[in-house]
Amino acid sequence: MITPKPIKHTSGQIIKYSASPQREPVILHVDMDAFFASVEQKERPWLAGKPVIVGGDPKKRCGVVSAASYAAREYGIKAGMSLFAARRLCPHAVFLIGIHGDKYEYVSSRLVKIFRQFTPQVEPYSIDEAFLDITGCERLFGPPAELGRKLKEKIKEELGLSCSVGIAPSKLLAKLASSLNKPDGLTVIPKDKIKETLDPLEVSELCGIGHRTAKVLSNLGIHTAGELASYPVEVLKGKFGIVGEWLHFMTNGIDCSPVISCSIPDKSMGHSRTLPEDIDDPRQIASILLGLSSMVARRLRKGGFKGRTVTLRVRYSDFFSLTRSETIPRPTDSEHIIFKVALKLALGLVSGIRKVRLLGVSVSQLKREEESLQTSLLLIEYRDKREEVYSAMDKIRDKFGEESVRWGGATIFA
Amino acid sequence: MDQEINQPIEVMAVFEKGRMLPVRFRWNGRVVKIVHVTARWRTNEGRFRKKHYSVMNQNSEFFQLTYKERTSEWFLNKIWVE
Repeated sequence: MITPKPIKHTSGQIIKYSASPQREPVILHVDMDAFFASVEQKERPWLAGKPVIVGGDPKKRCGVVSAASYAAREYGIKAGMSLFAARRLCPHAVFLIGIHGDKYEYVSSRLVKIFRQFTPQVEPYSIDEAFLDITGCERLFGPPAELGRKLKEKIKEELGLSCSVGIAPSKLLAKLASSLNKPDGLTVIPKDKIKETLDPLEVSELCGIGHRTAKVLSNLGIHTAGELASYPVEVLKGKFGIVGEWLHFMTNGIDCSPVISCSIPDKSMGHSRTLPEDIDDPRQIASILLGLSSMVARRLRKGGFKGRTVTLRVRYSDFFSLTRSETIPRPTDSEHIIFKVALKLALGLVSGIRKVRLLGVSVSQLKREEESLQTSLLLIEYRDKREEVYSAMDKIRDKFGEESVRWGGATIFA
Repeated sequence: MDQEINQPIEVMAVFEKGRMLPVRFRWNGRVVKIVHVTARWRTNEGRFRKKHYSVMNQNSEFFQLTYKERTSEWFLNKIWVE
């Protein structure tokens, strides 16, 4: 068996595999059932149990299905289908036109708070999915299956929504497990049942294997996870590069990637903006980040604060949000330093695969300017040379308005 | 289906357990008594919050209300029509 090498996560973190973990990991994957449709049905109780379809754009004449309740799915309605086709399949379905992303995101944030009642190691994977590392939680909540049951009950009690839970020794297997018995399922894959569970599955059922990869594998005579697991890894690497190695590990149940929790700083100053249209152009994103960094920096200076942790928030076109933070050695109120960190964080989150609809920049670990100076006399020597420029710009903005002066390339927000 | 209204309304609300919940509102001369809050969520309007409530009365009529912190105003956003 090949030992997996350290890999670089999209956030920039280096994930190292431990040669001898002290404890077998227990990972839980939560997948909300028909999330958008369920949120709408909870809001409109008379729609419970009925075929409900969420999607489309009120400003356009046509649109696609974003989510369908399980009752609607019985008619063959799926996400991505045109609303026109959906109406033909189920004319009596209730169509809720428009995506109410703010509402779904709020519910999603409440879900994360519930997850954190069980473990601090929570990694939101999408707006309606998350991984929880529940290793060592037995003393508090009992065996993993019992914890899974309690989690489902808590979500039902607080939000009135159902979910499917998968529990396994790795993220990959936990995600697979949660998909096996939807809706309202609870599936555990113990370590000694991994091969038995994985082998018969079609490769297209595995997380990360799309239509194209499945087709290439089919041309190699590989149709199931078991066939892929026993295929020579050097041939897979030759065909798929580093992904080939990953395919080998995945189908052999090897996935040591940790649950990466993202915590939101408590006291902070920040600005965020929903963009007029979804974008993926790095230059546009950089311009917006510079504008936001300028606004945050100005507020910090106005309040007499400096901060050390810069947090970037990205919301994608599918309403999934991610945040990433970096703490710098010295507190700052400099828009250029904040921008530099925010841009670096953005490189890990903005890949061109998903468009962005909202960007936010905030600074936390705040200290009063005089406190941050007192921490080290050396700070006086290393002050940002642009401070005089910032001060002049702030005076101009105080007198003539926020838009009266800006850095070249920065996007100004009214 | 939802019908957009977007009109200002007068609301009576109760503050309990750290939450603000509407209990009654007046719209077009009619007083609506709220018996069930089916959903609530928040959005931001710059630095200020907007609080959204989906509510029902004893006749199972559905209304969606919004409270704007910036101006301390309530609005009836939409109602459900068959």
